[in-house]
Amino acid sequence: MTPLSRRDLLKLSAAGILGTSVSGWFNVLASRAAENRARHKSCILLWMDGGPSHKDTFDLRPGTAQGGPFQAIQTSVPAIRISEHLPRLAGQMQHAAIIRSMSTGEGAHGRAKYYLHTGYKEGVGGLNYPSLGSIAAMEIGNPSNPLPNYVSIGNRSYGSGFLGPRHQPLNVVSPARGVENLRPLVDSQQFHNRVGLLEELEQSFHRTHQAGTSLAHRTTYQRAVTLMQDRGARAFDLSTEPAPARAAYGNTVFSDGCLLARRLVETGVTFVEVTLAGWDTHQNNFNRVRTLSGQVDPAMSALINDLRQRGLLDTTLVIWMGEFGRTPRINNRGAQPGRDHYPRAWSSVLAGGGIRGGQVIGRTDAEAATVAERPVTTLDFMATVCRILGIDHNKLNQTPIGRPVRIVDRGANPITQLV
Amino acid sequence: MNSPQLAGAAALNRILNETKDPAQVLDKLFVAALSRRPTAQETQRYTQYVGQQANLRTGFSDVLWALLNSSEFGLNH
Repeated sequence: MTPLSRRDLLKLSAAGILGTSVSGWFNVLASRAAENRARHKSCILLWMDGGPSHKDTFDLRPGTAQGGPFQAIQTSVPAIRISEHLPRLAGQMQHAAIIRSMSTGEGAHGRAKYYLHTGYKEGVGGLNYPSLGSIAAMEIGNPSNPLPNYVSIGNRSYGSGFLGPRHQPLNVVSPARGVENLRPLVDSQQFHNRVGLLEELEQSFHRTHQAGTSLAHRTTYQRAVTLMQDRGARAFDLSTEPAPARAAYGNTVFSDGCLLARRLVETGVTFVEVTLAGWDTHQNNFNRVRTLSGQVDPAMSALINDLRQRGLLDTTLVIWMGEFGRTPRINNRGAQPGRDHYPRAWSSVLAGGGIRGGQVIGRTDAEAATVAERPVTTLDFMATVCRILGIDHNKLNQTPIGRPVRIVDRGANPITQLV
Repeated sequence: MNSPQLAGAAALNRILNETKDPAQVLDKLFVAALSRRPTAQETQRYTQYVGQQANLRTGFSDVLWALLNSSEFGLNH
């Protein structure tokens, strides 16, 4: 029999040491600031991946040639009308503001997603920019929370860029399954014994090896153990949610994601992103938007409702947005009519977070094709969100080589009538 | 650290099939994981630890887990 080698063990643990990092939470826990900050606002970003059609959701033109078949319905705010396929959300417009004048310039998915997540165009300045979630986690996250302050559900999203690993998102692939590998394989007494043994080993090793990487390794394990033993981690277990409360959100991966987002915010997580993919409706736009609206409507309205009932709506900003809107003209290239990419004029929605709800910001023309009033650029939008969350968007952060970079680049003109 | 692969059951079985003497098992685990023999102090400490557990398997699987999750294993090449 061949003797057991270090290489064998390395092979065994390729899925262990490296596997843990793939599972999502390892890097997140790598290191987090130790200083204390007061608990600030939270944010839930409902990311409509692919670019939702503004003209078939929040900025309708019923009865016009290119308006499509959807009707606009009354909302709880008399002057505001939205799609008939968002009836529950319509009942909550008093908490929300629709920005109908988004104008963002990037019309390719990859570049537009990067731009709308980070506020910087991909590649500019040779830097990897942090996404909004990482910025929020760094600026207003509670560093002593055992849970990571940025969780991304259903999508890898965008990371922390030059802000470093401590602000990377924890990626949750499937909200119903929660965080993988969070439970020890052995019973809690034995796990406790093991951690004790490990701690002894580490102490003697660190007496002789005081390098940054070994400290980071040790910190990572300590954080992982803290998370595993923390009550807050139970937030990831959706099976503990009462069935009717869970059903109110719907019965999809996205609805579970929204529910998980609420549970995480309740435990003090700063930023949660939940992705609903499928909005790239070049073909079969109307049927697909109807189906997707049917997912958004119960989930987003239950989320707003739950947050309000728990007294968290004033401190939790909910954002509904994608990377761009869709063409005001209908394309008839395929068997079913579609709409194509359109960054020039589109809609996003903000709710809660202490904003003055029941408002519409900006306006598009008769075709919902160009911005007629108060264009909101990507910089304006990012600065607006920062303002609502209590982040100074002009703050300069340092890259690892000491280069100062503004949270939102110069030229931002935040919307003032929201807060 | 919680992955089934890291339980190292097969590796430990191989060693325990060869010997049940705690000092020898520890020698093999240390050489396999860290490319060094345990110090006298470590041998004493881990032998004592294993003796306190329900059985040899449990005790040594705890030691192996700790070795594989240690900074020395991960970083000291």
